[in-house]
Amino acid sequence: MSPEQTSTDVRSDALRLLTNGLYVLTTCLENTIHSAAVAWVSQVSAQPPLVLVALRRNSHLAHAVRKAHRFALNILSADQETLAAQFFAYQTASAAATALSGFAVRPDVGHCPLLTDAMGWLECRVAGELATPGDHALILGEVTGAGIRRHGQPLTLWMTPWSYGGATE
Amino acid sequence: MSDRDITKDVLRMFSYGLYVATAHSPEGVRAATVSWVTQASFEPRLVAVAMRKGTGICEAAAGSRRFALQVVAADQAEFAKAFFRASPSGPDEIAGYHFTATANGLPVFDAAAAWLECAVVEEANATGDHAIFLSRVLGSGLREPARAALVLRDTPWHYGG
Repeated sequence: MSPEQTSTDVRSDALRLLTNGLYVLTTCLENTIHSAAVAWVSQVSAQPPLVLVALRRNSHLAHAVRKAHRFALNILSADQETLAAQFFAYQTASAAATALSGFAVRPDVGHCPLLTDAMGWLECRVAGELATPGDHALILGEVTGAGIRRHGQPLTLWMTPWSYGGATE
Repeated sequence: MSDRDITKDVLRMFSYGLYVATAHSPEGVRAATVSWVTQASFEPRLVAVAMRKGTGICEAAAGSRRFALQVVAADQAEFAKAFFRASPSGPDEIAGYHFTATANGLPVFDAAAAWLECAVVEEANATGDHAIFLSRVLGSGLREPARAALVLRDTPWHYGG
């Protein structure tokens, strides 16, 4: 994502009043880890547990997730704004890497790499993709694994100086 | 904890707002509080909204292909709570909340801090227990003074897991 600094007119657009969290999506395809911060995420089913993630349509990240058939969402805590900022730009690393932008990852063969500093994580199998006329690919993930490292207040976009949403990017 | 309990707890770490969705049905206006909402495109402006299958609001949105999504403001927890359960609709009110029609004919409550008029472009999620309505934003409105949105985590309620 490429979030923008919140401007004074942010509240003039009703679409910008939607609440979002901030997550780091990670996946591993062949020998490469792909990662980026994402905000347009929602659960869409309780049984089975399914989540929807919107990724810029022709992005490297969307292609990597489709090919890898899986992704992880790393949930950031309220005090991890700095970590989030490091992932605004999409980045890649070797599958053997032990850190992304200085933040430790736990590589796991056959699974997505996880940020060890995240408060929780979900791993998902790609269950499908929604047909959309939009500029973001809408990927449906079925939750295949989850973990909690610590409890606390998760980061929402409202807590940061950034926004991602509204009429224009 | 079982894997299922952990999954549930992690899913509840996701951040959501609270919204009241309204739609026309043959039996009158339906209204329900929803939280599984995200923007899904800048151009065109799209939102994805998940509604539990079989509920009045889900059937009304599926049938009429249109709904209004109303943002619940931070000081309006009671407004959200009023639509946790289905209530019969009068000609211009539900559960004591008065509504009027927007230019696109969608019912919007006077209490709504802001709203989006949505037209369904795609209904998905055959395997899930909620329908996903991918919808184009036809129009929007904002009442003055502008207010902050209610965040689900700041309420006594949760939805998800």
